[in-house]
Amino acid sequence: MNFRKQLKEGLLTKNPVLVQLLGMCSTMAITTTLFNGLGMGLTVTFILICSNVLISLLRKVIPGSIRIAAYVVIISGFVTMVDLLLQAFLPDLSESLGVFIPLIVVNCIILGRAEAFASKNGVLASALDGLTQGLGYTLALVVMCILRELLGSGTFGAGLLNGGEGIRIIPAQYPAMMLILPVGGFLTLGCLIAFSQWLTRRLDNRSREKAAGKRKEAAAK
Amino acid sequence: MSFTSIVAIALGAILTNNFILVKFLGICPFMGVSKKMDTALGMGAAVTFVMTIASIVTWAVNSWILVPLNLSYMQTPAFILIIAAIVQVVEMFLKKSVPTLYQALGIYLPLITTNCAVLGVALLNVQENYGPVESLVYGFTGGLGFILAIVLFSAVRQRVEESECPESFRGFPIALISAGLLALSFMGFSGLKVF
Amino acid sequence: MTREKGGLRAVVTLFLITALMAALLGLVNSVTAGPIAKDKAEKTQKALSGVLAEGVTLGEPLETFPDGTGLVQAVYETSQGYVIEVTPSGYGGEIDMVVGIDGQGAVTGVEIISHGETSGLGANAVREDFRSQFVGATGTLAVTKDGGAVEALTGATMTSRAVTRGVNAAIACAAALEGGNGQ
Repeated sequence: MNFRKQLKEGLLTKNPVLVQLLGMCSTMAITTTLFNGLGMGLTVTFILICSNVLISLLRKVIPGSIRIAAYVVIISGFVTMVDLLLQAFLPDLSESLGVFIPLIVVNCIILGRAEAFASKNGVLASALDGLTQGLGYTLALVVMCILRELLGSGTFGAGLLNGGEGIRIIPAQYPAMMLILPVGGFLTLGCLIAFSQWLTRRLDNRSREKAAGKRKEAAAK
Repeated sequence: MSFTSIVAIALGAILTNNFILVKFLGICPFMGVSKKMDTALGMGAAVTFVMTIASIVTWAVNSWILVPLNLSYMQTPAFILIIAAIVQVVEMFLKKSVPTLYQALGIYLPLITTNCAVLGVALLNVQENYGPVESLVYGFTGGLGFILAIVLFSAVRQRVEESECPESFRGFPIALISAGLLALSFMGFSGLKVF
Repeated sequence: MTREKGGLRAVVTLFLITALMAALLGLVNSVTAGPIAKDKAEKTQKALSGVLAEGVTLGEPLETFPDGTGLVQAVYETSQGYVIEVTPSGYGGEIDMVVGIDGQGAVTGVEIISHGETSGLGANAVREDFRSQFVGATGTLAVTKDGGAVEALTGATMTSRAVTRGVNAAIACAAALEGGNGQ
């Protein structure tokens, strides 16, 4: 169990959205304001931690043949609880995310982490995995939101800052409305994944160069 | 529940409110199995089939069991279990009775359980207060819209795969951007007036 | 034999897990049901009083009302006219809204109780500058794209059309009520 390594994997090298390409629906659908992105990201992180912990606790009890069904029951239970809690205590967020809260049930990230990690690892490691993967998801959402909101409506932090109006950066008549329409979701995510691929390759090359340089030094000695 | 309202639901689900391109439901299979046109068609058919059955069964369970018992907060878990069960039953039925169709659709069936379009249609039917016929029509035409989008997209994608693009955009990113352009063209339908 | 045992164990485990989650859910529901209902009631109350013109008081809900569109959910009589709750379908499900109508059949206000529209687009329908353009309106309205006078929200024609449809249904309902009252 290595928190640093898990955090790096969750946020960058194994980011659930940008690298594992999971949970696309919500990533594109709700990232129109910062408020939505943060809310959705933290909601999913919370559910991910809960489901990972419970599944990890029960991993030796659940027979292999019914594990997927059991995971789905556990996940849908937690999602509904969170849905009810949000409706009761954060009605604005609940209204803003609408049908995408119950749809977290079929968000592949949660089932994916249950199957790939929590079913094989201890409770603490699974909780950490939930936290780091959830933060990675939140990071991707927040970046999408900031880009789309800035270019699409010309504001920053709508729903959160400045009494819900957000801080206006681009005057109201100029933003490209297209970016907060569905089209913008596809385009922004496409560019973001391309950027992350570019970044990964660059980092790879650099570390390879470093390794090659070290080898050369060693050879020279 | 007049004829026009049925037509309105159908046109909305296929064009103006297309599940994939406008409502963002079912993106995972849309991106995952759209590399070839025949697999796309297979997935589309399987999804339509399950969506149609799921919308009518979830309607029945919701209005005859959950609502009378005051358990509507159990909707999401109940619906997802129903969908999983339907997928399982359909799989077993096809395996026994229509083996050729099973071979064609077999590998896609388990994937449908986690398709947000199916759970989405069940939840939206409740939100919109649709009756049994409307739910059925919405589920079926939503599936048709899914087929339309995924088949169109697979044709676009086959061409895109063969053409050159910047290295970082290769693969998934360029596919997403093509999907974005497809969504842009579907926006043209939003001017369509039914009423 | 062992296979049968395994199957039984699987069924029992799945059942126990389902029971556990259902119990937890029930617990959460018992905690949240109160606040959710209270929040809904408060929002409805605020919306109802928000659409009234000054000096007008809210009366009792009517038991029966004419509804040619299927959109009208409730009608409250006021000292001058009606307040009508309508639920047209927007982009993301039904929009629950109330419309105030005065004795002359003109709109006195529009308030939105709940909606599922996209934030940044259709959700802007709750803004004052969009809603206020309905005030004083009579007859049948339409958005500019459809040849009417209602300025649609940018990028949210469907939401704007839905709200307009809701207002139209309310005006028609109030007109039918006035007509039925023997004027």
